Amino acid sequence: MKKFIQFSIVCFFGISTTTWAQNYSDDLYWSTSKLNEDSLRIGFKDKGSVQLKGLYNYNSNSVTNDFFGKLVYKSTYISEDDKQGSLNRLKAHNRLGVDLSASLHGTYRSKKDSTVLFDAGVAYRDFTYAYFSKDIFKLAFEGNAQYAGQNAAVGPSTLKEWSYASLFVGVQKVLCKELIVGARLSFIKAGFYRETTMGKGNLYTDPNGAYVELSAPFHWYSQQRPDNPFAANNGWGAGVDLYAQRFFKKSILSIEVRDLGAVNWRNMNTYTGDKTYRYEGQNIGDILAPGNSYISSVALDSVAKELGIEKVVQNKTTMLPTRLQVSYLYKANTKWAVKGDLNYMFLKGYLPYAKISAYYAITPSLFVVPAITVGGYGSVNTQLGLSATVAKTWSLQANVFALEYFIAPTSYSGHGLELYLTKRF
Amino acid sequence: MKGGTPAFQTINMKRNPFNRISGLYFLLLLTCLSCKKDLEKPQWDTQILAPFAYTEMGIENIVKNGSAQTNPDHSIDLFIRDTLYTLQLDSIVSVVTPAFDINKTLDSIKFGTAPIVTRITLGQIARQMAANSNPSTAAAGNFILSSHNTTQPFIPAISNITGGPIPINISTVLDEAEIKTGFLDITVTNGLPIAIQRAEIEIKNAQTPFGVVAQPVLTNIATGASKTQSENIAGKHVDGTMNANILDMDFAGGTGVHIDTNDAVTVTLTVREVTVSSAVAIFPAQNVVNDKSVNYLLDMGSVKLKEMKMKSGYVKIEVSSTIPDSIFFTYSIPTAIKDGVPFKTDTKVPPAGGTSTFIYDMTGYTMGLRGDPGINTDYNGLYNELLGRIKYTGRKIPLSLTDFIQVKISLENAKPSYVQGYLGDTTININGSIPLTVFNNITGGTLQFESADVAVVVDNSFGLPGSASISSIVAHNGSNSASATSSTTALGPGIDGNPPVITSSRVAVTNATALVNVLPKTVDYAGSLQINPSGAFNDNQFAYSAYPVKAYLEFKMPLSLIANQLQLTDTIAISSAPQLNSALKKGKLNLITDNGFPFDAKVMAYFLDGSGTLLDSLVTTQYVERATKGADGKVTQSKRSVISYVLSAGTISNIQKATSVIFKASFSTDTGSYSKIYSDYRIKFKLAGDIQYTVNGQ
Repeated sequence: MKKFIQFSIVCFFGISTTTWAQNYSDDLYWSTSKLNEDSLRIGFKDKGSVQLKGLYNYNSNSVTNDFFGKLVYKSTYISEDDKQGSLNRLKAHNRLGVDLSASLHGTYRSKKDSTVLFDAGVAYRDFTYAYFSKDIFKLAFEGNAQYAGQNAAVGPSTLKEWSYASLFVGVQKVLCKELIVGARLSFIKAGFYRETTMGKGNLYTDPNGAYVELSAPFHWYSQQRPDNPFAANNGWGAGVDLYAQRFFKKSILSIEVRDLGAVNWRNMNTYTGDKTYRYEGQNIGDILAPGNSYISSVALDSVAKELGIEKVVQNKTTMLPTRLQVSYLYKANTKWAVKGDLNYMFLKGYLPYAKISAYYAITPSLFVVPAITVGGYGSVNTQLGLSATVAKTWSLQANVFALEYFIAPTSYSGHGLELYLTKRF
Repeated sequence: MKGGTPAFQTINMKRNPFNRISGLYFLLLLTCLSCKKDLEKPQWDTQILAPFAYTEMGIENIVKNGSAQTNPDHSIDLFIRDTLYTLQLDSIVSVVTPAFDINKTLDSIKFGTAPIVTRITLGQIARQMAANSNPSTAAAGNFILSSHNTTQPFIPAISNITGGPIPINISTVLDEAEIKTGFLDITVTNGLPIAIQRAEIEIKNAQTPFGVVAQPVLTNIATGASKTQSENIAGKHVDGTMNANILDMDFAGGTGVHIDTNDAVTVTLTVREVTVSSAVAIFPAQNVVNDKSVNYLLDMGSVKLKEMKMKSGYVKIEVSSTIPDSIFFTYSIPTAIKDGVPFKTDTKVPPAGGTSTFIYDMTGYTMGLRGDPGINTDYNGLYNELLGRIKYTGRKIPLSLTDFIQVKISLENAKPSYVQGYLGDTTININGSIPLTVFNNITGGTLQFESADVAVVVDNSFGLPGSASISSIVAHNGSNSASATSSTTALGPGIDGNPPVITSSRVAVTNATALVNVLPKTVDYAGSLQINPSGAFNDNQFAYSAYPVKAYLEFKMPLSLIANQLQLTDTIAISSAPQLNSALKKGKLNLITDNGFPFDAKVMAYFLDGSGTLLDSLVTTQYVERATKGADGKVTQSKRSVISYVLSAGTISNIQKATSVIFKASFSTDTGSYSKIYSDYRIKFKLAGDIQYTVNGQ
């Protein structure tokens, strides 16, 4: 009865259920190791573990892999043909996300109470998310001449970048034989933050180019990007991860909240505007005056000043890119299982992300895990995972999202790689 | 658009691929403004349509240097002024001083010695008497010698005593001297126990030719008394060693006389008021040259200066002397004053040898030119004082009145910054020709002003009256020309001060509108300026070198004109290649104008390389259209024009190679009536690009 009450409380508050650094719901090893067991139950065999994790994920519902690759990886010339694939996919509202993270952490099971597992480690994350209009993409990659005498819809659009390193400690507690809860507290050293947000509005281009007029509320925050995010001193923050798993006879339900927290970023260059701004070029004064240099270099500060937009340097507190995830794993037998994941990130325009995975055990120590995903930054994507256990205590897992990159790079989006290397004791 | 500073440095696109996403929303502006070279950045082409420069100009921007004057009705008068002639101070006053030569022998040589004291004892006298061939004298001598330290009840009178030579040695201060003037005082003090009735003493040089210096005769010198006789020794030669001879000495007898052969007659020789013609001696400190004189400026004509302040110039003193001793001299110009201190210099000239030269900067000195300050009524006269002297050295030197000191004093490169006095009466012809640049850029078309005034303006900053007369003015523009004349006009004097208050006089010129409408490129002129035309003397006139009299040719034209295809051409050197962003590929430039002036215009640019070869051009057939005028002739509404210039990739490349650019602009107004320009007319220019731009292009 006591355990039931505890479980009910956990379920009621939802976020109080806790998670581990390795995010069990995404960890193929953890899932497949459960499948090898006779029944889905919590075990206490491991004394602890060390895990190295890396994740890279790019996806968009519009910007193709080929375009992104040339823009980011190859740094090459992007031709009109290269643009066309993305232009064809552009919608009224578009999303793009890039997530890079890495962590190293260890767990240690309490000798006094085997139901308690301690956790500590370090992590780094660099995350970019953009939500943008079709016109703003065209402005950026084709220019504004096509909008001569017209409005280009520049908002609502947003672009956010986080970069931070964290040192974390956590604890997992087996409340009962069906329920695990856990929590982690992260101390965050801010690396870099930038945000550009435009409300609904337009950029108008005079037919002759006499002026360009922006009529959209906006704000822009930016810091100097440090070369070494661990050495940066751009602010401090804190966050928590919360996790709970409920074991049923043939299934496991996981609920977790990741990166619930905030960072105070220092010395943000801030530009804010909510009026109509018309840019008519640089005032070159008296062109007949001796020594007039006519046109000098134009800097953002001077342009902003000419438009009446004052730069303010201030500290700013932002929420971390918090993620809520619910997973359900169903074990059909020792060979097969299916798993559904549903997550949501609290970002403007972000679609709920759903993933259906199938688990098949080629051998008891080697699993293949194909999956289909929908939503998130992208639309519909596929993934393929592998999990292998070596020498009983070593495991390597890989989850690859590359099919679209190889098959239809110029017309589709999304690619990435997730790797886990774990040593159990 | 210059290269260099990226517009959004703070975006800071680094190698981290995620960062490149971050600039997404600012790429539009970034493409316009950033040209930072970074080989690792992706590139793509965009077509940018955006303004990059604008300005607004009124007539005050077009007509510079305050040469446009706004009238109460806001109409504009255009002033053009070119210098015809400048009358400098140097032209009327030239400061030339004659060299102030002093070639002077010594005025006098003073000489003096301490008194020479010679003591002749009774024993000396007695022994000479004893040795005398005269028996009675010898007997008297022996008697005295034998009576030493005794008291004789009776001593008879003794006569005809002679003695000598007794040496007088002054060779420590004198080797020899030719006495020019002076006296030798011989004082005989009788220290004997009996009175001297007569003493005749001869003082004679001890060397050949043994000349007698003095031969005094003294009488009746009582015991213990003294008697002095002065001897004029002018013209005598004196050696450093002399002898005193007693030619005759007579003693009165006495009773109860105590004889002491140590008692003596003391002879004291004292020279006084002695000057020498020459001497080899130790001389006392004395002035040897003392000269005061007035040096007059040369070639001053009718100019009579009371004072001048030196802008530049220096006093040069050259000194040589035959005097075998250092000469110390003081040169002063008591009336040359700077910071309240008269000019004075003390200098040492070494013993006879070469010439010593001394130079003193006179810049900033105010020099009184009234001659001797004690009289102070002269003009153009510079008063000088020169004092030369020797000092006591303790050394014997030869010195003669034939020795001389030669001093040459000159005021060189003298340029006054200010003069005061009567500045003369002269007439200066001012014939010549001046180029007029104001119409130089007109290379075609016609321009006609509705009216004009032309005058010769004389700004008189000299404090003297004058007159100006322009007999001819001819304006030329190629084969076109127009002529004008003027009458003689009096010029009022300027008022003293620093700067002086200028008195301006206008000499009106006839036929002004015709002169202007020639659009002259040169103007020939002939006339004269006369100073003090009445000749009335006034020595309070002044002139500053920094403020010359200037004559200008002045045009005043109301900006009411007719222009027909008036073409202006100007060439501008490009000191450094235009920093066009190399990411700019091709496109066009839009010149967007809102013209509030009543003329239309066409502007084209031609880019040339260093050899003058045309590289490329920005040409158009489009006009900046003129503003709309109302019934009163005033502009009622400005007019917008958009003129496009094609910028090919080749043109962009050529512009970057150009070293000069020729701008050609042609203007036209309504040809049926004059168009008047008002101060509130404005023209707005805006330059926009419609250009293919490669983001991150190099």
